[in-house]
Amino acid sequence: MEYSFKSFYRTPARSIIYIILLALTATSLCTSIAMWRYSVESIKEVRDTFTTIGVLTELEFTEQSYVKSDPPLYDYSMLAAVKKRAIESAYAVSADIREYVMGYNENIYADVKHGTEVETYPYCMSIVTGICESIEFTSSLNYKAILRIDYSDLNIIPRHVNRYAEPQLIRINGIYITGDNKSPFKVGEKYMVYAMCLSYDTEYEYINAYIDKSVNESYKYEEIVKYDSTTMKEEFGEFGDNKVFYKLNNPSLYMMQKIDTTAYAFIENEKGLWAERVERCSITQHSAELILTSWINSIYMFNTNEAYIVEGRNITNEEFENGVNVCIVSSSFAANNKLKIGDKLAFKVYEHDFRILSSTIRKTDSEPGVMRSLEGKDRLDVWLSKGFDPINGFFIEIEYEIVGAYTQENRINRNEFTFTNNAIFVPQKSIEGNFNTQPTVHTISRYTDELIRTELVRTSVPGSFSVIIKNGYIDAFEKEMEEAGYGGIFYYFDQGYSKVSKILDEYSDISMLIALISILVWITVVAVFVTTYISRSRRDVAIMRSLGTSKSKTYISQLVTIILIALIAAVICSIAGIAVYSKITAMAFADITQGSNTVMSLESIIDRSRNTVIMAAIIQFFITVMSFAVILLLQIKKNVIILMMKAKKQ
Amino acid sequence: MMNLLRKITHSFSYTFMILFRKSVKSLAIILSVATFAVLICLMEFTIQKQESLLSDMYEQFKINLVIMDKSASYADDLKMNRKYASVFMDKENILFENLDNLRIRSKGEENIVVTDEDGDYITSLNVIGLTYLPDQSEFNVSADIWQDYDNSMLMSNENVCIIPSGISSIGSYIYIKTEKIEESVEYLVIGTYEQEESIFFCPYLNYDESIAVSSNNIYSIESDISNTRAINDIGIFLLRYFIEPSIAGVTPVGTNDLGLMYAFSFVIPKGNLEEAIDPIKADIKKLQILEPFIFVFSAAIGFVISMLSIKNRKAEFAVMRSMGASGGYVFYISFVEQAILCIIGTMLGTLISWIVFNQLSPTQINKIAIFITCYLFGTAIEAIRIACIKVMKIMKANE
Repeated sequence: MEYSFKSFYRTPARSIIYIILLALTATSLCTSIAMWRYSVESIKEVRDTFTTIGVLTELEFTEQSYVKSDPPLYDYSMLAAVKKRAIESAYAVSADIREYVMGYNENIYADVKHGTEVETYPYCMSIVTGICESIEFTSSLNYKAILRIDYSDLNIIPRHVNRYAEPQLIRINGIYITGDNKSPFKVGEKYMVYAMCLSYDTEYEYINAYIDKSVNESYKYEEIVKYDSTTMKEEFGEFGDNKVFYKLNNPSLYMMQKIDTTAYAFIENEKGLWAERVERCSITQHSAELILTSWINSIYMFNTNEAYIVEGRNITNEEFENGVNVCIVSSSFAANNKLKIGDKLAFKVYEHDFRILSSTIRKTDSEPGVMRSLEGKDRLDVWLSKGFDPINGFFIEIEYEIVGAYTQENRINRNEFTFTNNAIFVPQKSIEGNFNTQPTVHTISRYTDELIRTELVRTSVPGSFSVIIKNGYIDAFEKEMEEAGYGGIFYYFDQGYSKVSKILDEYSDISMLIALISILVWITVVAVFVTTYISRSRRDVAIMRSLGTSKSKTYISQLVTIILIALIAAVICSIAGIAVYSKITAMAFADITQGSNTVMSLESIIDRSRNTVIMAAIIQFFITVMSFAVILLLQIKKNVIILMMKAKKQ
Repeated sequence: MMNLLRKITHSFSYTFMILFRKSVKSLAIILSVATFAVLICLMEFTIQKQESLLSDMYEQFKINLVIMDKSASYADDLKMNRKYASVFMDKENILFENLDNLRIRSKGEENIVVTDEDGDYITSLNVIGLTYLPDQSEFNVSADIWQDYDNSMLMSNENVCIIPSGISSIGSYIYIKTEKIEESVEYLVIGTYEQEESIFFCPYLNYDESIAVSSNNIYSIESDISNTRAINDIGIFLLRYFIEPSIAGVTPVGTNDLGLMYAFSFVIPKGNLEEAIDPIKADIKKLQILEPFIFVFSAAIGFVISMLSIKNRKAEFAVMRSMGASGGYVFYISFVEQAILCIIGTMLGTLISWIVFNQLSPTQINKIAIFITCYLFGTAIEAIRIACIKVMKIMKANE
């Protein structure tokens, strides 16, 4: 050992040269290996930024509301089995089964554009108190009544109607006359109305409101009334014969109440149906839809970039997994409610039932001049929340921090994959429990000889299911589904992964080449070093052996010298390698946006790659020492005379 | 001259003799140099290939640009000032060369009267000025278009229009009157549609100049981004006129470059573009940064290998010096020996690269030349050192 250290110090120049040679090549190797490791990890990271989803449209499994709808493509009883099979697929990463609840906060207003029932329900449900100024029965079944709103009394009018002006009049479109066969409104009388306020007509300056439409089960309580012309004149003014009216024989379905005092007093005394309606309206109009999801990009509109984050950030994987109380809201909702990123929203959360509405698809490809809806292909069922149910009440209070705001492309038509600007997305694990478990009763009407109504039970919410598939395995997944008899049901979206996959594969192959060639360079240079050193040490070994030193002592003395050299080189290589790698990384990342998700995920890759430098330094040290040990062993075993002759030749 | 020639041939023959005598060591040096040459060619090839793959990646992302209100809540009925159109239609700025399929339109609040040649009333139509062909989804029209149509027609301020087919046919002329212009103006019909809508479509610039009543007449602006690489530059440019979305409605103090208040935001929905591209960009940049280090390494390793090779032969050079060889000749012999090894190794490495990668670009050849230079520089340093050492010192040197 002493000899080894002495021989090291005795020829410092040569030792230093050897150390520099080994350190340089090792640094080059370690840096290349670290960069290759980074490439591999970052390509994996790039692949993971894509989300491949399979969705099915449940409306292909269900009879739709519209009377002339086409029959469904598949049997509804198959739906649960299809979903189960998809989840169990070997190519499925997970499934996102979204749940829908609502959150009430008295300081927020539901973000709704005025317009149709599909766009505004349930937030359009209102309580309006006023005095009837006119009523007109049209030639069809409907009537239009105009009330002057009494703002000194109870009114719960949605913000999308009274946002810009305080409406003085409300025009109510209704269908039913009263149970005692009277006109629903009489001029001069005061009424409290439970109406659907859809929009504000700026030209005529009244609220457009409907009653009776929201009563789903009205057909069960309808009666037809036919008046003669005398009664018509007495009751409703001049009107033709053969006018048919409808009435409801269930008072709890009446949407208007004549009141003699104030609405407040009436409700105080009644404490029943109308009190519930008031509570339902006031809670619902200050509610948002909370969509519980396990991954944002599993949602069709986000996956296809039709909805996207415009400010702040998306919810991260970790936040989804840990059920952190964060949320993303629509920019419209945030702007209208004067919210900003970082604000906290407290909600009282409640479950709700669904109302299934048949929505007309606007702007179809129908032939010019042909009436729409004849073929039933341009109406689609839309599932809408029914809003707050006072009987069920709230089940939890929770607070969310707004981390991002999204916006979405302007979609004229709603379908099961769209959502409104009133939707707030939260991690599914942030609220414990199973929701939307109550089946929804769907009443459909079909003509045979007469109109037949059928009640169907639906056990899942359309648009709530996505299966997340391993990137690049769409075909394999579809094949599996075909083998199970469920081929062609799913629609696939992969954010363009199929297009970039080949590019990433090529990139990966190219990156590996650098590492391989770097290893080759290192091997070659180490071979040069070993060759040179062995030839130099041959003379020393020969002299030591000829003077009687044992093979083992000779071997150890030479080996210790090389271990010393290799160790110092490895230490220098580690320090230099990390310094070089860190410097290169810092320079390379100077352009990338700070604080983005990209930087955070890449920083972890950089740390892991940096550790690779040290690992590579350690491994190359051992390989260098081992290879030298083997060659030295072979040399030591040779005959002393042969060694002396070879040394002399040098 | 003959002496010089004799010296040169002698030095080469001596060099090759030494190389053959120490064939193993020579081969080791040749292979080291060859692998370095392959590494350099590979690095250059890799960088080029990765850049090409990165460009392919960029092309896979179809990104568009949408102008919205301050909080990015809605993208239509913006009531934007006409000056904003000039920003997007200016052929001198970055937008023109990097955007495609620009879609600017007006709301449709104005009406025009269609007349005959004599100015007699035919019908009234609602006007929409736009820079793109109207379609079914937005306007409920499916227009038949003139066969000679090209996109520049709607991007200009020409008097062309698309109207209901019941009024006139493609290629004919109609006359219109507006609030702004009392006399009938002639328009060429470049398209017609069958649907029941009553809309007169004309180029936005033409509408703005001749028909628009208000200067805040832009309803919406959208465009596709043809060069995804330029997204950041486009964003920087747009900040001169727009803000990034702010749900709190925060805007910079003062006016934008058009002299208007900051009232609108721009949104570029990138999707997962940055997450997909940034790691690759960083990777390529790292390789580009690493390249100079490789050259430094190669110079250092060239020096070290030369030193190791020459150092063992000090006695040989001392004998040569003592027999009358000059220092310069010693330098020359030792340098030529290493140079031949370097060139053979480099040629071998280059040949391997060419066979494996099927290409040898001028950049790769440049980099090889730089590598040879660096390597020989290292060799020259050691050769000079050997040539300058005192003969007696070498003779007395105790190894």
